Amino acid sequence: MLADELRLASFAVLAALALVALPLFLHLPGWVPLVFALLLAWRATLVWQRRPLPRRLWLMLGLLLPVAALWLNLRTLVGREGGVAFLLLLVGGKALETASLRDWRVLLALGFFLAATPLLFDQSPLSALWLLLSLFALTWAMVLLSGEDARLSPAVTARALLLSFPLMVVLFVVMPRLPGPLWSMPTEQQGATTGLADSMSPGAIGKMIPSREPVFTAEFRGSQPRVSQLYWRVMVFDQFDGTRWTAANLALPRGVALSGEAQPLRYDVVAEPFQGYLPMLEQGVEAGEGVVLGYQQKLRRVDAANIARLRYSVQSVASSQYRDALDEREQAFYLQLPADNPRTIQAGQALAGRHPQPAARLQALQLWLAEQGLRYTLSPPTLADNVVDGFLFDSRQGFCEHFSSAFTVLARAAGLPARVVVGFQGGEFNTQGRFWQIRSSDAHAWSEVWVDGSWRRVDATALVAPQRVDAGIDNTLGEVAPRMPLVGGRPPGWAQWVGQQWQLANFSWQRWVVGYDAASQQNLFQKLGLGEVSAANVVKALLGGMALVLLPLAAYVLHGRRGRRSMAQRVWQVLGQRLRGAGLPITPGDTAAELQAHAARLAEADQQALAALLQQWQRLQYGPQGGDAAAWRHLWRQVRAFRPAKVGRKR
Amino acid sequence: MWRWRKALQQWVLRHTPREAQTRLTQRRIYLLPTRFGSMMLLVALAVWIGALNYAVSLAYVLSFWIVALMLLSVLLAYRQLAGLQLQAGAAANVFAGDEARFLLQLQWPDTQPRRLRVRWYEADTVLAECTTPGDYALPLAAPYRGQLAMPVLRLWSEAPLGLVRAFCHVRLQAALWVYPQPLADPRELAWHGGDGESAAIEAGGDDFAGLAPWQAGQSLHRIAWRVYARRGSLAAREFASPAAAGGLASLSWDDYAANVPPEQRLSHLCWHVLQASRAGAGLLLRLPQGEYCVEAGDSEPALLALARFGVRDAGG
Repeated sequence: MLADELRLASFAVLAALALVALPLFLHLPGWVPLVFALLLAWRATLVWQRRPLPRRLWLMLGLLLPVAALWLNLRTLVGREGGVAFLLLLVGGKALETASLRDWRVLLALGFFLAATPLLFDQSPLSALWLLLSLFALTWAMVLLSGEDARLSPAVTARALLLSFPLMVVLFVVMPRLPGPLWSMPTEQQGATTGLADSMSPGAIGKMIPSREPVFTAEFRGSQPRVSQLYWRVMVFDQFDGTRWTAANLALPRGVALSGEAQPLRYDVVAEPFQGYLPMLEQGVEAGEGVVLGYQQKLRRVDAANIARLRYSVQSVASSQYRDALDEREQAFYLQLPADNPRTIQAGQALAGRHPQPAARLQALQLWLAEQGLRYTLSPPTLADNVVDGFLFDSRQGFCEHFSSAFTVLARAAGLPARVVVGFQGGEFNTQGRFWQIRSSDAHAWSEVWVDGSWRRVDATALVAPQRVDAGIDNTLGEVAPRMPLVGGRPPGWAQWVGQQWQLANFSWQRWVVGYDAASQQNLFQKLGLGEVSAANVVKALLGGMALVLLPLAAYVLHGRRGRRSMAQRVWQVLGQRLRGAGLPITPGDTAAELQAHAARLAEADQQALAALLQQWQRLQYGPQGGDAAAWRHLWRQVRAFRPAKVGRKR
Repeated sequence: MWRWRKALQQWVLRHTPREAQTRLTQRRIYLLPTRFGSMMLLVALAVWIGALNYAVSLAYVLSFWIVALMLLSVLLAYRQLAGLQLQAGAAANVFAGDEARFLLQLQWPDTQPRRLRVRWYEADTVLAECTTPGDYALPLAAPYRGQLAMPVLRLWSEAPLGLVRAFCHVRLQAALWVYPQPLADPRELAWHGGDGESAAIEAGGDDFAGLAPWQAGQSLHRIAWRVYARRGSLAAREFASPAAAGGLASLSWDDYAANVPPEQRLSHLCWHVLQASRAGAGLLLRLPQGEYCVEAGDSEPALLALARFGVRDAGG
């Protein structure tokens, strides 16, 4: 039979576990957390009705069923999803095995471990809030298990968490981070990821545009770029089947050679990989730690399979072209076209005939496209076969993917090696946080044409709708402009301000909490003047930080509260010190009467002052109302100011 | 493992001085993680490794918060014992086989409630849970006759989280006497000079201390007038000198055959002392170490003499 105290504590443990596991409903097959919740509920019922635990053998056999179902469902019991689901079932089983205080404590410790699992899936501020809530529930259960009075326990819990918070911050900042994982994780098949797809067909990017969801942030060191320089390159598509552009993923080792001696822009980006690739401003010259700049100017993580959000630094020269030597085979590859879209091919070939010089031919192609009377819209009519022909010659309405696709086909038809680049264009500058927020609606596609040994950027969209690049998509297309929820219309100034603040909070969160990694740590160490993140410096910072936090904490815990409670004692003590200072043989044990007897040797004025002080002390200490804090403080100041004259030696 | 524990216990017992009263300072207070605390450290480590591998910043937060709770617990547990003043109160003597109750007087300088537990160092039962300053009775089995000194005390606290335990060992100056266990003895008591009737006399008033026939020349105010009123004979209230013991029950170590073991003799003697005391009779007890004249109603000296029998260090 459980003691009543332990009963309450065990309910608290079960409730904390349920709370901790709640977010897993979002990330695991729903039935797994459900089974977990049922197991907890079962245990709670047994505690409630004071019934014995089920037989261990039956429990083990009973657990086999969901574990087998899990295997059939996920085909794995390790990795992120499988491992967490498996752990959840085991902890649920353990809950039905708890009898003694020690068992409950084991279960609680498992609960703390479980609290880490939702973080593997999501690290938003909301998850952090949930973590805080979970920690409170778990610590509360811990306090109850240790036998604390139930009414005092929430206050004790809150106090413990608050007091330990600064210690945690020191550890968080100082404990070294590793640049890479300890062991590689099993790659997992991701469901439909939002963002850029691995191919471009009409409408693929268009469907991203209406969403104003933040995609990534960039923070420039030094000078800020112009909006028209912000071409964020992510993927390159170089194969066309008549409708769809895909990436052939040629993997040629190729360095980057940039024409001109422009000053590179230095910036940090926090982004999740899109199909394994990360956004980078054209043209990248140097990639920082954790990322690598590869063929076709594509940036990717060092550990390519990792799809987690990453903070990385890059240096780019804002240029619309870069030098690249293509051999015959590559040139032929970038000229390949299917037999579809005959009218476009014909137009390209005609232009090529008139302009034998490649540079002049490119000029003529751009001019030709601008003259076709094309219209920039987000809702073009759907096109069937020969989509490029249909767009250029019939509907004449399209979006960036139509423009880039059409221009690339045209260039290839005209004998110029060309490809499609997909990424983002523009961004919104957050003036408070001094960073750029790039949204889903900034998704863009443009062409690259190889002329005279360089790849040159041709933004066909800008040829038709120049304001797309200069003013940003919000001001080009009415559909995309920010709107107020429910009421509609452009948001007022304050709403934009609130929006910016929220962005800033999110950015800071990503920058300082989620994105706090080895590189950020290195930065911070240097800013604090601690130098490299080495073992010696970490120990130094740890000791320094701990001392900085622990000493005041210890002073508060050990003396602070005691002092507040015994104001009477403190006043009494100081009074004794003052009298001793005046040369009277006062001992701490003296009563008020004894004090006054000794004080007979003091000067008359001092005696009267002392008498008044003693009277006040007695009134506060023993009076019917007792002394309130303000009255005590007043007396405290008076006693501090009381300095009786020294008693003459000769007496 | 067991041997190390034993050795550690011996070391603690040897190095805990006996003191009249003590105030706990950091030199006396030890701090160690509890079993639960070690488990939580393991959890923190596991979460930390996970955070490291999956680069999950918030998991670092969780892991380090657990560690921070541990560190804070060290301070909080220490606070539970710091400044504690301990002193032993007077403890009543008991009979062998009964439970002795030592009195622990706890004081602390502030008025904050604390959560401490007390047990004897060499036993596992929690004797008291102390939340307020005051006196706590600590039971201890007293199986053997003789002097019983207060054993080493272990005070500890795991409040408020149960992660870290603060503990200290204290040996307080307190001792009590354990009387022999009374053992019924069919042997009749020998009586000195009395009329045999006195054994049946019920204990009268409160101040009835001991009786002897009044003899001329004795002070008048020593006469027990109430006895005179009831019996018609003068009795003097007697305050002990063996020579004066006239009508007393007599008990002697030598009344028993040589083959009766000493403890059994003492137990029988103890029983007789109690019987006599209950009957309100005075008593003369002869032991090898000396003679004790016991006034009626006050069996204490005789019991003490029995308890001290053969105990070399008879101080206290």
